[in-house]
Amino acid sequence: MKALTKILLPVLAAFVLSGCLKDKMTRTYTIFTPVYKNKQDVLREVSSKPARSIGTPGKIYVYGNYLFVNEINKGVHVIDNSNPSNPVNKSFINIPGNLDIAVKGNTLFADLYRDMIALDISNPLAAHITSTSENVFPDRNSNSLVYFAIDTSTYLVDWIKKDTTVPYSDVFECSGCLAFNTAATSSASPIAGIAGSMSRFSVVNNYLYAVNINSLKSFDINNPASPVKVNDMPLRMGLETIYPFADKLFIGSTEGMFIYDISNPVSPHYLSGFSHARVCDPVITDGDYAYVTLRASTACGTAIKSQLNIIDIKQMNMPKLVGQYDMSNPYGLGKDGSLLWICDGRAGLKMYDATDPGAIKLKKTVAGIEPYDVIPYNGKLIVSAKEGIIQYDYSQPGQMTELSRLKKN
Amino acid sequence: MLKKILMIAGVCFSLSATAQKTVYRSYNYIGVLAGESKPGYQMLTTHGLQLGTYFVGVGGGFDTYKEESFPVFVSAAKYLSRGKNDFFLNANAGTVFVSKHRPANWLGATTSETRPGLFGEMGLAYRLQLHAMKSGQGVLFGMYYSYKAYKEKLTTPMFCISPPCPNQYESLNFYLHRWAFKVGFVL
Repeated sequence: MKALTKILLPVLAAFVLSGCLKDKMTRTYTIFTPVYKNKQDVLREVSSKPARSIGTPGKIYVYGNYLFVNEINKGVHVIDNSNPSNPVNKSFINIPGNLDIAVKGNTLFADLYRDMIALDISNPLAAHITSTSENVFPDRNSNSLVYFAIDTSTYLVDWIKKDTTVPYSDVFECSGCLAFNTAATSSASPIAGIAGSMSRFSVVNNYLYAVNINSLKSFDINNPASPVKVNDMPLRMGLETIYPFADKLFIGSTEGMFIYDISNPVSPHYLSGFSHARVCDPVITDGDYAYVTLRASTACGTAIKSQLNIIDIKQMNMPKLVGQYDMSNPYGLGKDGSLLWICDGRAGLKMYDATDPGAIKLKKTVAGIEPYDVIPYNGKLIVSAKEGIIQYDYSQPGQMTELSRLKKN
Repeated sequence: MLKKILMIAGVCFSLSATAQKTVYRSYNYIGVLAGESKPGYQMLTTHGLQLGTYFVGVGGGFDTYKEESFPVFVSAAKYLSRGKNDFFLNANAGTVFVSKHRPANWLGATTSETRPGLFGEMGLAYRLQLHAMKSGQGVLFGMYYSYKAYKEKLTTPMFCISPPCPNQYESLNFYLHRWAFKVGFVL
């Protein structure tokens, strides 16, 4: 009995004393504080500059012999691509906050933070603003999903990041929360120019279509220098990309692909949709099939598997899935004839024979690059990659020969 | 020269004499861990050499308090007397590897990665030599203050209009204090 007491006493003591000990749990995260800049000061920064080397390439746009490359949040490189083996960087148009571009005639349409500007680029060395459309991309007033109501005389131009540590409780697990300081390639149908599949701008005849996170906006650009907003259709949340084909618009969103009829260009009319798990997805089409890359990422949804989906759209009002292929981390894609290219992130650039959409065959993988978007055009492939702008010749069956590389600095 | 040889011989003799007193020991415990969080369990084994009233060794084991984890540590002990049944002070210090398998997309994070942290214990134990046991062997009872710390790094891609989107990093830091009551045996 005495021995038992000796043993049990410390156990009892341990449990009684356990109340004296407190676990400490902390959570370290980043606080984002918005930085504003006077709107007129920002607009004054829009100007042509001498050509400069590519830093962080974003979206690409082909117009005639010119290649326009977005430098993320900084502007547009104007590249004379008459000879894809030797592209010549002609100039850089400084456009703060720029992510998307489209061109018609001598007019370049570009987003500038939440606004859209039209620039006369008849002389790329002296581009100038001809008009400004306000608040076309209100989502640029946000970081992630939290919006800031800001003064219309300012732009939200940056965020100051600061790490902070606070007590953490298992009950309130809020990882992934952000904290804010509230103080195709249309090889089949080239229209104005050719945008990559990741584009949010599309020029179809005399209309410019733009998507922001939850709406489709139509602009009359009969006079490109002064676009006039003619429609602003609220759609579902999560719109990402826009791709024109004939008199249809294919819209990629985090929830699916939507087809809109633009035979009446002022009022796009919903035709059909194809839903999938919540993922990030650009879409292209060749008229018979739509090709959608689904990038599993929690920034877009909860799906955990990245895929390429091929959807039969011969009956536009009844899209039907015909093929699903596992991918690594796909972004943009492009198609020319039976060849299909997928920018599969770190897994490289993949070229498929898509003669049979139900059983596409991998023909070639270009490893060692991290491609983001692609435009196949006249046997030449223009790739926007982390490494810069790379061009390939794919005119020889099964071959991709590197022609040139504008390396990032 | 002769002086040097004598010195080396002296050191060798001394080491030889010391080696004769050095005994291999294995301390093995199971324990209950009580703190602010839900109680956990612990199994530790330590192996080393005992020299007189001192013991040094290395150990490892399993610890379920808050998260399943695997401590690896060095251990030192000092017996307070020389007898069959003795109290001894014991301290362990090292690192702890947390085995955490979060489901994919747990709390919105793409990846969840745990990083090793500090592990430390200090306590008083009692060795009770039972009749059938040899000298130095015995049943153990101990009470310890025990500390375990680790970090969990969560990576979440941020939504952005123009991917590739940057990642957001967040870390959860755990500093756990508990009492450990242990029973075991030494061989």
